[in-house]
Amino acid sequence: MPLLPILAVTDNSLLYLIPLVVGVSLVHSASRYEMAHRILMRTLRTSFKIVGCMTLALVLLVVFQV
Amino acid sequence: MTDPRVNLKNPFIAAVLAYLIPGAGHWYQGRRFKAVIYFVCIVGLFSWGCSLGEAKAVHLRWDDEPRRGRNEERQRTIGFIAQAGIGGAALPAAAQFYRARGEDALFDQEQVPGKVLEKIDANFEGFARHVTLGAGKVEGRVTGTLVVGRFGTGSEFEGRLVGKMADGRDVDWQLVGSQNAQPISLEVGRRITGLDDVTPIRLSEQRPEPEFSGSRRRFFCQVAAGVENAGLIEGSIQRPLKDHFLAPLSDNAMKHLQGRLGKYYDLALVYTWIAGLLNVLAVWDALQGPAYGYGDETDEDETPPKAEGANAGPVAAPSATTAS
Repeated sequence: MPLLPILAVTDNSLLYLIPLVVGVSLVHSASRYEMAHRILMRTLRTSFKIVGCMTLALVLLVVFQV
Repeated sequence: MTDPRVNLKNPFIAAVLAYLIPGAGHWYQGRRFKAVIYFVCIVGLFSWGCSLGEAKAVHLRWDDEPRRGRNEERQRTIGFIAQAGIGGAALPAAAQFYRARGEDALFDQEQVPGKVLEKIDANFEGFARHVTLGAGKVEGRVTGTLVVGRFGTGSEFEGRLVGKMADGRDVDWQLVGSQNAQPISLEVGRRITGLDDVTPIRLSEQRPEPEFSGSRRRFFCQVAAGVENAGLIEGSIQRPLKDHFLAPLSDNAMKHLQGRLGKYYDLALVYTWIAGLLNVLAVWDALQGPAYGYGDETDEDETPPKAEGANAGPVAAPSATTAS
């Protein structure tokens, strides 16, 4: 329940994160490897890591009411 | 060390191409998949950022001295260093910065009236004031096509405005200007001075502040009826794209832009910064090849494949991986 007000005030701003995360993950992975399969798999992993870290930060902010 | 399976051709040419156009260096090297990834992601992020910021988030301001005013600060767009990483798309901002500091700008700020150094053929939006033609007087908003045919470094010019008044009346007026007549002038600046895009065009005796990033510029001259001065028109005409594209913003324009766009201006900055920084990775990849290797090596946090049989080598790649 305490999450709801924060998510409400962010309206659709979080949607702007998606292309940023995908773009950063793709380019970063492409600069690390050459094989298409490996690039795509690493992109998935990196994307989930970034989203996970940001979700964790959001939860911590809500819990500690920063 | 670069994997020998990656053909970098001439890495320096590839790096320059990759800097100027994201992905172009990799396309040149034959690494088409990565070229598409780089182009779509980097140019996509940069374009979206430009779109969010109404093409004004990318610009260079670098004051040598603190500006006069309430907050005497140097205005410096440090973030342009990141944006410049995208190369060709951001470099015009640097060129516009030097134009805005150059002689053209000084000339424009003085706004010497009566000088037109290039032919004008543009849409006009503005007002007519005290225009007396035939039996009646005409006043009000007017739009149309404005052409100044005779021009030069002298003080006189001739032109024509064809358009409509706000009430639907057709307009076909001869325009004339002379520095000797009062209060006539043709204030179109030289090339790079424009108007603040957010300030409404209005009748005014005051000269507006020059705004390099404005898409329109002021036009103010007299309407002629025979040899008599019939009245005035004041408004604005469109400027060429090359004169305002990625040009530095004034304090006033920046304040209005941030006020109007709010968080979207910040998002625009973030998108363009990140796009520029990502292109640095792409340039490095074009120069040196992939950082971690070809991609069929064992990942540090993955379980290494079990060797089958005594003759299996430690670097033998899984067939499914190499096939892809």
